[in-house]
Amino acid sequence: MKKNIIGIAEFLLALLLTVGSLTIFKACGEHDGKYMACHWAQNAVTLIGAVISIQALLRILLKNSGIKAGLAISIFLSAVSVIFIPGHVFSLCMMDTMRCISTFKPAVIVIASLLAAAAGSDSILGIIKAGKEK
Amino acid sequence: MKLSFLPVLNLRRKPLRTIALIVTAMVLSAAVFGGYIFIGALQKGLDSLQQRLGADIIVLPEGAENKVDLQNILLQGTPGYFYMDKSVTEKLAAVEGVDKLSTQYFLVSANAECCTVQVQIIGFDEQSDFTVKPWLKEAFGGDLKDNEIIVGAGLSTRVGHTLSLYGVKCKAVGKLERTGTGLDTAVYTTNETVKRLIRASAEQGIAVLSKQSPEDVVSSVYIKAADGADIDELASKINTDIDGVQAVRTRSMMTETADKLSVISESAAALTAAVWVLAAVIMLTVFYITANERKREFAVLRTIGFSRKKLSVLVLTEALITAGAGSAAGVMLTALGVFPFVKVIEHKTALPLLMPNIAAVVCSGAAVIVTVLLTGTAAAAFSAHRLSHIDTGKILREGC
Repeated sequence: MKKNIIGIAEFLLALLLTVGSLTIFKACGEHDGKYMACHWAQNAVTLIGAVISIQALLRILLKNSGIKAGLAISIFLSAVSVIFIPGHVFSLCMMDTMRCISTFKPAVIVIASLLAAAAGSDSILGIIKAGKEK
Repeated sequence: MKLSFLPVLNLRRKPLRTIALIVTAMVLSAAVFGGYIFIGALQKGLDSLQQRLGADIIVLPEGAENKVDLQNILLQGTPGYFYMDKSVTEKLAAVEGVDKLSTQYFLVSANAECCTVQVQIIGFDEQSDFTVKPWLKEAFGGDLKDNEIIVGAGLSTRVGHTLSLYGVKCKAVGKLERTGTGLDTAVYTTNETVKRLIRASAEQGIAVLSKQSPEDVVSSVYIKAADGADIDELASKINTDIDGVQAVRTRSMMTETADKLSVISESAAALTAAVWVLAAVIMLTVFYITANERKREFAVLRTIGFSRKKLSVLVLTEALITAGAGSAAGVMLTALGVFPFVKVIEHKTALPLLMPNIAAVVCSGAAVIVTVLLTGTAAAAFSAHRLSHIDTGKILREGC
């Protein structure tokens, strides 16, 4: 448990990103029967969040230090890419009082940044550990 | 083992106590930092709104709902519009004590395109305006031409891009600084462009005006009183002499808002102070109880040669580490929880919030950390004094 504390944190943050982007901090809803651009940003965040969740789960379950470090690096890179999805990769709506700008974007950036910080430090520690084991 | 590591080892040996102290310091710093940021943002938001109104009296169509609409437009950014007969401007100009007056048009856009919502459109008279142009100059120095607009900071439209309003392509030529008010989500243009938009709305079957022509109406008249004129008296005179209008003194409207904000500010300040006192008492209690538990440990340290000063330093270092870690975490968590979500807080509370600049935030964060460190050190100082003056022999003999 103590050894996997960063992995558990990564998994919980990734899960929050996946579930939260569909619920508590989801983007704007349907508008006159059409989805706005932010909806696709939300889908992209949910998809990458789900992939990161699986990677984080594998990072907890697998024993090999090298694979753990590799997964941590992958989580780090994916988390960094998520930061740029709302507003850069996908454009959002026009007014900053709209849900996608006021809630979805900051929540995704904060959670993805925390995830990147955790996975980044995990990667460094993992690489050092794998190097020692060799 | 180096003796300088002793405080860290002591803290690691009692993880629950250490976490409790760190959490207490964290709550204290989060409350103080959050309170400071909230009160500062409220004050700054109100100041910016006051600066932007710039007139002594605003004349609106008669009816309480119009005043509420105006407050909603200014404070919450809720789009709205109302109109009165334009002939009132001539009557107002004839009132003694009126120095300058300028008309404005309010209009709400249709949310016709993908990713758009209703936008407040404010039209002003380029020739007579004295309220909008002074601060509009920050964003755009020239004269606005037909179908040119200046957008508020809360809109994603960039300078050079166009915004389609009732099918009319309007080019954004400037973008304003953030005010923290409803004006951030408004679009500013000339009265002529607004009239064109009103006609375009009629062509699209959206009747903004029922029968009148856009040439015959205005939404509001901003008045600057002549030097020496009594503004309250002038407002009363307009209300009495001219039918169908209500003159609202800008300051009274702001005072109502300022009064509400001052109650909120005072409550936030009281809450912050209460949390501070509570956290200080908790810290003092924890250090006091800990001191009792650690009498034997300190007696042993005294017998192996620790001076009283060294024991005090040990206790104070432990307090500094816990208070430092807790206060830094509290400030960071507050910053992480407040700054990215300021727009949603502003929207939910319907308060004019304008965040202090980054230098002020960094300085206040540092000040909070220092304050919490001092509080933690002061709470530990009493225990440090007690522990450094224990009767070593008695404690080792009797065990208490």
